[in-house]
Amino acid sequence: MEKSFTQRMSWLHTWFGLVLGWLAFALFLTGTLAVFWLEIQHWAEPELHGAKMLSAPATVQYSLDYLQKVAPDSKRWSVYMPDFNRHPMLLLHWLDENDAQQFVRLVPDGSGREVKTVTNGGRFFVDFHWTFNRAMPDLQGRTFTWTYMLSGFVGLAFLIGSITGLVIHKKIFRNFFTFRRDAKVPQTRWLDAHNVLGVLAWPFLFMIVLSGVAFYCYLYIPSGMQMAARYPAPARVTAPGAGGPGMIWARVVTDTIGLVPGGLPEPGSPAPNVPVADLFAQAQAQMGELSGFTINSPNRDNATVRFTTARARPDVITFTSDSMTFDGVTGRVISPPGNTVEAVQRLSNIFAGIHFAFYGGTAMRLLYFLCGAAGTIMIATGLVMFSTKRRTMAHSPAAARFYEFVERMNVASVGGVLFACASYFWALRLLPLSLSDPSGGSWDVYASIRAVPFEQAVRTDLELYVFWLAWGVATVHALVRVPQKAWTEQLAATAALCVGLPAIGYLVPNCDIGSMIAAGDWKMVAVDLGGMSIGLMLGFAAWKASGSRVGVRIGKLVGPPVLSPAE
Amino acid sequence: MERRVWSSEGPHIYTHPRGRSAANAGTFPTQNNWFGTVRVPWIIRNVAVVVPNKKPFDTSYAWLIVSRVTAAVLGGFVVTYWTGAAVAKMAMEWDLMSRGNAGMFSGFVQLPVYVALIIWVCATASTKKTWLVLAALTVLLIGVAGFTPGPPPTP
Repeated sequence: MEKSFTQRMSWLHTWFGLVLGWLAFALFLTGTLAVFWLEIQHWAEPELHGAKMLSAPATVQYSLDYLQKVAPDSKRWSVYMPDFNRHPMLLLHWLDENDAQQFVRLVPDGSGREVKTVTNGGRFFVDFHWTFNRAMPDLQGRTFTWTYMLSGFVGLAFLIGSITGLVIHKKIFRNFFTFRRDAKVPQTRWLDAHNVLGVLAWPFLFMIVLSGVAFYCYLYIPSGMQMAARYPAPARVTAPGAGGPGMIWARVVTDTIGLVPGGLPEPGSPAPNVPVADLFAQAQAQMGELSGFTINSPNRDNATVRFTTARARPDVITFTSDSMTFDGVTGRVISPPGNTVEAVQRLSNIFAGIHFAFYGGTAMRLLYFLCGAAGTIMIATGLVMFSTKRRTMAHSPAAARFYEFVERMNVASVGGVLFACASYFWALRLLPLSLSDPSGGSWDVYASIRAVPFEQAVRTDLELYVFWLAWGVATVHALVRVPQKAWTEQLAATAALCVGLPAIGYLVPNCDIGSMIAAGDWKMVAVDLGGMSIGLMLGFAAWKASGSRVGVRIGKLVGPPVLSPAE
Repeated sequence: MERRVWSSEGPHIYTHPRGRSAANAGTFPTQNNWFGTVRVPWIIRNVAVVVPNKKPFDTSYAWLIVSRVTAAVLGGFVVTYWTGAAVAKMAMEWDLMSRGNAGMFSGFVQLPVYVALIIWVCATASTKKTWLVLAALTVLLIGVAGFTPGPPPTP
């Protein structure tokens, strides 16, 4: 090993950074895009584009009218309110005449239009950056998602990289203000770019990785949970009116659709109920923004109405959850709000709130996005710097082959993931809506790949296939092409795909940017323009990488070096 | 200008062109060397040139790296695993928190422990010492998690 402490830390920084940097880049890129995942979800569902949304009270009344029409004798209605600012989709659940779960997704504009598009949308980026879309059955047939442990280890390595980075860059403030753009040795330029971005975004990067890993740490190494589970469980308190299937952050949980839930209320006698819209206003005044409500035995003398708050809210950093229950006949409060959370759970909620960035509004998310982009570029510059520094210093044939492999893998991991993400956006826009799962749901809570015959694949499957196929093609391309050419071609292809995003909107009804500007749907417009801006930047990067600016033809030997060997 | 470099890639010597005149510079073999032909990336103007290292590959260095990485990643994992179990057990036995919170709290403890162990293993000069400390910690934590009074047996 190296002699001094700093050298050993440098070794750790370099090799952990390289081996896990390939995956870390993909995680950071998708995590950065996931900051705006609800906006991307909106972008991917054409039915929602440009719709004139109802107000919250009007949406409540619209939901009740709809449920009254389709399931007047149901034992349970559930309403999941739309997120009007980011993803305005209304989800309604009810129990049919056989007490089986049914649901519908609506545009909350009072028209009765359904959202037929079933897509992974922006949720894909959230799930990819901690599961790699992979749920693998273990030998016992249970689903064991080993990939989330891999992503956790990558996060851990990033934490170590950020700590050792501080140790080895002793002159951190000097590094922050140093960018030798005209340095003759390219390694210096890459090093400066790596340092500047790393120092600039260090607090954010450390915080975002720490909160992400800490939030799920008990899952990664679950020995503590396993030990705690050996102790007897406390008595479970069931809230009145609880139950029903749900929606986990815009992804409908469909594994209970068609099934009969347990704990159903007794069939009561018909009786007039108090207006739910009044109870909604009362609950909102006490608890803040509400995410939905469930009515047990609607229009009966044993009706109860339970309102729940949004877990993630723009006005609070930490995740919260609270609920209150009313008697549906008298309007009396059965169960007031006041959910108490223990200190450890509260700490976990804080980590989750910081990591998921629901607080602070669009400005805060934009800051997250920019800092995440800085971290993503920092990882890329670190990877490129590794090969730039070493490719001329190989001390053995094996080392030379290894450095060449590293260079190609850099292209596959950086250029390839960028290309795959851009291809995924094209798939979201261009895959026919008729391929959506006719049952209206998704197969799993998380966006995970299913191995099914191609003719049975639905739209959500095909979206994931496009992403992974694009990444595979890019990897093969990177392995067979000269690295410099591969860099240029992959960056240029990604740039073209991104710049073309607004254009392909004109091929799909209700997705063209012109009419969306006229309709004032700025969420959809922002995704289009954001994609185009990123495309222009990638085009510039492709131009810089092309070598045309230094007058050297790519792939051509720059003359034989005339030097004397050291021996 | 000759530099002797000792780095993670092992000892090697390379020659840098700056400071050399064309007159006393020989011709670097571009054919029949390990690379076949020397490909110089276009962005490099000052060409650093590889000189074959005739010294035999130092296997002891490779084993040192393997041992160190294994100690950091796997050894650290084992210690962290038993740390979680021991912390959760102590939290429950001393009635400090509820069942779910004890499990979650153990996760919060495990994260800094694993990070610190990996950094410490790589920072310590002696590999033998790291293995000894990891083994001692594992035995201690297994003792705490497995052999102290614990939960009632499941019926």
